[in-house]
Amino acid sequence: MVTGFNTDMRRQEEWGWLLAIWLFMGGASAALFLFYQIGDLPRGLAITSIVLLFAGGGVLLVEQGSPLRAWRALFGIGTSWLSRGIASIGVFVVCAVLAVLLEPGSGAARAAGWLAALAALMVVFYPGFFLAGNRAVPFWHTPLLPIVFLASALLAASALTLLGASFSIAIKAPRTLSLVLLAANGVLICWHFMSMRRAGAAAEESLRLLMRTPLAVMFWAGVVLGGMLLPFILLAWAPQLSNLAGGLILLGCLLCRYCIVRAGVYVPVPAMQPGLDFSRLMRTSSELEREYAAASIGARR
Amino acid sequence: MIPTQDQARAQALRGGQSDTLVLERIPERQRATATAEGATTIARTQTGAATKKRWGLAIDLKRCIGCQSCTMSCKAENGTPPGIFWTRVIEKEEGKYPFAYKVFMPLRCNHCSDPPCVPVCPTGATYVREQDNLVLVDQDKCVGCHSCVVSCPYQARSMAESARGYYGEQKTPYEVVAYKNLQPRTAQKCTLCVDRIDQGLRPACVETCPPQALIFGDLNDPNSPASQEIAKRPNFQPHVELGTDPNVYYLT
Repeated sequence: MVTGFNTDMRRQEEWGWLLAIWLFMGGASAALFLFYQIGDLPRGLAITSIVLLFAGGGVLLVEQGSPLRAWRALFGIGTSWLSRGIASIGVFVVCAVLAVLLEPGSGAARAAGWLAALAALMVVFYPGFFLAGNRAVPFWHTPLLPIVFLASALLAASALTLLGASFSIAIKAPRTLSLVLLAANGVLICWHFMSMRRAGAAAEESLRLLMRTPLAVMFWAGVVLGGMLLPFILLAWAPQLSNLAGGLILLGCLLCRYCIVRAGVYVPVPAMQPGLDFSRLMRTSSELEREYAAASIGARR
Repeated sequence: MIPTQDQARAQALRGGQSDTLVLERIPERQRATATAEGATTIARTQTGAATKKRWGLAIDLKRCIGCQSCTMSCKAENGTPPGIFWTRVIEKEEGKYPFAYKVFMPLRCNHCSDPPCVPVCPTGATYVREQDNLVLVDQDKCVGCHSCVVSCPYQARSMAESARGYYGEQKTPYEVVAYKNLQPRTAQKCTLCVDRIDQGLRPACVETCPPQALIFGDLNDPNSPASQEIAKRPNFQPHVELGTDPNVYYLT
């Protein structure tokens, strides 16, 4: 039978790698610009941030069914987080480019920089709100998700800075910040998963997917071991390998987004929702005979 | 050629005849759908005040036999592509031997009063029709972002990835006509046969259901067949806890 004709719980199949790549690149890019603006880092990082956003934006366009109509996505700002996110991306790109091109230290560059930082904050947050607004997918429908995405974006940006430090002496490797963000990410993911244990059957199914199916290999090996534990050990005890740690963190952040997106399971079909009593539908043969007799009398009239 | 019952009814409504005449030609159980204004959907209640229609369905689970007639009639009426079903009937086993039985549950868009698919749409392609509660998609505006597909708790929305027909790239004449209304890579869903409703007809699935398990009507009108069944029978709305206020009621 075609999928959807049975009562099994269904995982969302609409979003996959493309959305995960965009969420990763968009979040990392915006968070990197925040670091640049707040931490007074070299301009090269701001340029990296803009390039990353353009690349991610291309992936986002490919993900759309009809990319030529993407401009229409600005019409739903009043209600749609996707629309707000796209508007923020527009403001971010314009202001960030101005901040980079204008004379460093000038009032206009500073104003554009801070405006871009505000828009970047929105770009970091909006995917979390966008997914958390889905009542149909309990695994995402939690106020914790925007914070998880924020922490993940900051971690990715810190990893980019770590990698940048290996290319330029002007950048100081933010090892302590990365360690703190790694720990924060671990705690937030644990917290999210713990809260999902009591969020109903669909959320439990999402956890099962992440713990015991092929997705679990990616989650445990890619996100937990490769993306968190190993980089933590490297940063804490082998600082000379911080660029390797940065690369592993980036991979872990990408896989983390993918796992969260792919583990989205819809609420059960109405027949399976808890608390329903179908016992009234069970009728004996004599009851059915009486019903048919009454119906045939009605039809004759 | 003798016109079918539906065609005759639609012709009567389009002919601008008096309300009484039109309603006399329609069986009593269908009158709620044949509004006085024909194509418009503003109904006049017993008090004479104009109210907004709230189209909905009462689905009698005692009557549904899981024959999938509604599924097939929907496909025939709307010409949906392979693998896409705007309505479908699922079955679930209940009880234990020797008292086991099957529950058949038709699923479709619930045309919710507070639809979660509408606010998430970034382009405004998904909207609630002004004169009633029908949740529709303007495919010319849809960007294909999947937001509405994922936000629907009833899994009632789909997107056709290509314009392939049932027999590959070579479409049948029927598919050539039907696919003009369905763009690939944009969201599509049950419209509750909006074209038929506007002509004063019932949705194709309701018309086809052999055991008459699907009861269609204006839920704002207490005299509509659907409202009356809902009033007198135990019922539930699917996933009402999600705050969508669906306009489909399952009678048990």
